[in-house]
Amino acid sequence: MNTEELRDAARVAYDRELAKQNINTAIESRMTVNYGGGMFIVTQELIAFLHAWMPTPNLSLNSDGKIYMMDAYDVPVKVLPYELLHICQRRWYEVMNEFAAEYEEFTKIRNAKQL
Amino acid sequence: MPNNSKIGCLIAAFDNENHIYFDMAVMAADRVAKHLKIPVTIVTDSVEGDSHEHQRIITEKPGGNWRNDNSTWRNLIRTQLYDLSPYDRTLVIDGDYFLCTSNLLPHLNGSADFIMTKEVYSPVNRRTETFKLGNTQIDMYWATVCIFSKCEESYSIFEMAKHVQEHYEYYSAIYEYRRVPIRNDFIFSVALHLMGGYGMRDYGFKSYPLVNCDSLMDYDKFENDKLVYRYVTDKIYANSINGIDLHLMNKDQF
Repeated sequence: MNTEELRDAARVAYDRELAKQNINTAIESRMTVNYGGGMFIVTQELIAFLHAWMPTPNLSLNSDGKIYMMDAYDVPVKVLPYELLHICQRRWYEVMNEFAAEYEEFTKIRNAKQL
Repeated sequence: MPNNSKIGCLIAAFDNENHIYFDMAVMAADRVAKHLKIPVTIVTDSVEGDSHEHQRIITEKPGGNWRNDNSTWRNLIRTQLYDLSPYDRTLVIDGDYFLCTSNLLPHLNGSADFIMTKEVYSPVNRRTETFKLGNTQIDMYWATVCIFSKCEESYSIFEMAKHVQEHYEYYSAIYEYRRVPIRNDFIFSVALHLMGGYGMRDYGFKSYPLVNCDSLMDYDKFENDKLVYRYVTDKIYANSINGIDLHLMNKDQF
């Protein structure tokens, strides 16, 4: 690097909050799954709902135990709760593991030269 | 959507004085094939360029549309893509939209008959927002990425878009936005506003913001699906973004 290039490199700042938001945005757009012809966004709320779903004894259900849920595009989809739960948990696990790995890389970057 | 339905991608590319859009479209098509593993068809007037393994539909160059950089923008074929598409379910992307992930797959395999990008993420100001169109402030859609099924609803939207394109000056006066250049984003924003009960219906992608890498950014390098870029606000900054699909709008920086 010549003096001009070194001076240029030293002048460039690095915004860590922006870098973090870039990672967050990428992670959020990966948190989607297909099920029963619909698309669901995997959130903590969805996982908690599916996990908590326990039909009360007096509730008359179809014998297959399926329920209708609205997907991300407001289309009703017939869902077997534990099946969708399994898919969501797997997706969560994959994406959050990727996120943890990326976050570790992110913490090592202290300035623009390391990009 | 039936399991045996044909899913594919369309990219329109018509060269002008400044840019060879066909080559750019082939690069974008390669990325679609790599990440989504679906067939791609390039809609173009170019019979000569190497399209790799991608199909092409040869059609007439659309009419000229003047931009403020003194080039002719051949963008006015988007409203005809419903008629031209050989697929049951079609992904449409711009030639400068570079897939870096398979994030579109759940949307392609999902239930929505027609969706178009609406939320925009800026890797400069780190905001995700929906832009508003003109003085009437209706939601602005970006025709950069769109998925549609061959069905009555999508057909009606494209027919309305053709009508808006044909009467662009009239609608620009009604919705109070700039008349030139003619933008597909504006055409579809108006068409979706009209067809969706005057803004009652949301046709936007869910959990899939459009990452606009626009003129505020200088691209340093783009390797292994990672973009390193610079921008200026109060001072000069550099940063990087990866793991997300990118709309690389600065064609001169390729």
